[in-house]
Amino acid sequence: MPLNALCPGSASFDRLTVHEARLSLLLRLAQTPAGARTLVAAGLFGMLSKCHYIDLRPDDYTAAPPVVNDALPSASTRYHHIIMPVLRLIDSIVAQLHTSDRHVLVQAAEFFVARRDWALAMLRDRLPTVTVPTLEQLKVLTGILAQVAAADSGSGPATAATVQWRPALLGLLGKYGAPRQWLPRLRPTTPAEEARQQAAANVAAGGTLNARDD
Amino acid sequence: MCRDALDSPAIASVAYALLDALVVQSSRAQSPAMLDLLLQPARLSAIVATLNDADLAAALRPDART
Repeated sequence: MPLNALCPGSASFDRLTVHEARLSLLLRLAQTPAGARTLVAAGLFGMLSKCHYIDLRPDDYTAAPPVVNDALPSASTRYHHIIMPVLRLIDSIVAQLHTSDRHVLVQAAEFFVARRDWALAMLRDRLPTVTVPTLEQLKVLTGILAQVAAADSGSGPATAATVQWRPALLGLLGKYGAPRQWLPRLRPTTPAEEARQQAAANVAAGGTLNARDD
Repeated sequence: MCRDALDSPAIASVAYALLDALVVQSSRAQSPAMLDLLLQPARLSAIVATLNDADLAAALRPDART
């Protein structure tokens, strides 16, 4: 849902709307090899390295109401709308060029090395709850890192980055390998997610009752 | 695209959406003219430069509504 629909007329939401529109255009361009190549040549990774807002991942996942149903999305929702287009853009560029332009993988690795604290905080995933937005962020981030790791040649930025990520990635495997370990902690962030979770709980409860009847 | 226009949120978001639609249309029509126009390095660099938007950090503040 476009954020301006949630809070029209606010300067902050205007900026978020522009960000989403801009990234949508860049993502469209990045979905072709020529576009991805031109974006890299235009200094995309260098510019992203300067973007301070990427680091501002909020830790209000526990403080925020579990379901956002008023006009103001939580800071984590706003951050999600900012960071997901950025991650998808990087993912698209890396996917387009990872076989033909290996130096792009090195540039991507350099970006993540420059953003080491942010990337590790995402990968360590120490938030007490699990939400669909954080899972979506992890899905795209780990997908990018898997491709960047292919550029690991034993030295250089890609190697440095993969060495830093490895323990955190293994931690994610242990955390999310078995759904029963994390599904109980999955917290809805929208009314639709809450309804789906309630429906799933009802089905599970029905199954339990049926088993008892047998 | 005029760089000044990108500084105005209202104009910029409409301009980006319009360019996005033109790229889609150009792709569907198998006419790469619009893509070629956008992919000129100077134009793309101007758009990439706007990524470093300091106001976005303000949008993440708890009181971002006002």
